[in-house]
Amino acid sequence: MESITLAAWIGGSLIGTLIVLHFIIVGQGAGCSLGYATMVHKVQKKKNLFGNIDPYKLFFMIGLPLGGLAHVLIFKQEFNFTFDMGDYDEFLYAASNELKIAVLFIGGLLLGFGARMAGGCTTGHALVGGALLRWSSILAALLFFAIAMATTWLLFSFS
Amino acid sequence: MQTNIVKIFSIILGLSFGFLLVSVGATNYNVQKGMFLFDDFTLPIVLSTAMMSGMIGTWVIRRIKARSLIKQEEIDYPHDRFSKRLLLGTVAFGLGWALTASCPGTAFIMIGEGKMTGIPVIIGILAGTWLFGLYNVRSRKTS
Repeated sequence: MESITLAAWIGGSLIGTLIVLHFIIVGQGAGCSLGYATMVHKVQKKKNLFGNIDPYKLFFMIGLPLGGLAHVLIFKQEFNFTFDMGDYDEFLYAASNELKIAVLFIGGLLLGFGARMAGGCTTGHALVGGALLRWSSILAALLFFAIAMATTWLLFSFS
Repeated sequence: MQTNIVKIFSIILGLSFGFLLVSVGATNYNVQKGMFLFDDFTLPIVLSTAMMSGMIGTWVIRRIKARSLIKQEEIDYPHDRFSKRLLLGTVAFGLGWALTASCPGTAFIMIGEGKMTGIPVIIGILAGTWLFGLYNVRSRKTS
């Protein structure tokens, strides 16, 4: 348990450093949800659906799964496809795989819509906006967390 | 040319970000659940230390008026933007975060880890982003 806590301290500091490096190298804040908007924009070019689009975010996004893969290859040395969700499988998601996919899709829909509506996701608001002490971002991050916390608590109190 | 270098660096930054988030357990469903139910403090520690080091780092680069490394441009720092939309967005996002135990970043990272539960989430995020776009265009027309 202690090693996990240490990893959290070191990992957290490194993630913050990465946010700073992103500013220095790319010249703008890191972000994940804008990459999705850029993807949608690439497919549906006719209308400008979003105020701002950022081609670099698309490349940042390409890197993300590569990082996940690198971690698996280095530390687990074996790659498996899985479809389980740990403790989440015990309740709502236990009924059937179809229901699980449907709930995950609806959850994703809310994430995508909400992130654009709020102007950023956990990365953009909590990490980048938090580091810059933007109070609207800090408020957004706190609300993200409070609502997710209340919902999770409700979900698990029914299981 | 410079644009391509920034793109390559963006991939490297994304890769490092993904690697670090997996290292701290951000793509682990039980760690996410532990954060929301207050029985695992890994992610709260990660978020607060990341904000701290990010705060110090951005304070320094703003202080020395650093310019971007490759394009030598002024760095674009996001500004405060408060609106009714922000509040509504946080509600939707918070619900989505709880239901999927992932966020737009971690869902994409999970694919690389072989966690196929990320796929319906990603398709959902793309659909939700597109729906927002349609809503955005309509509300622009009426206002």
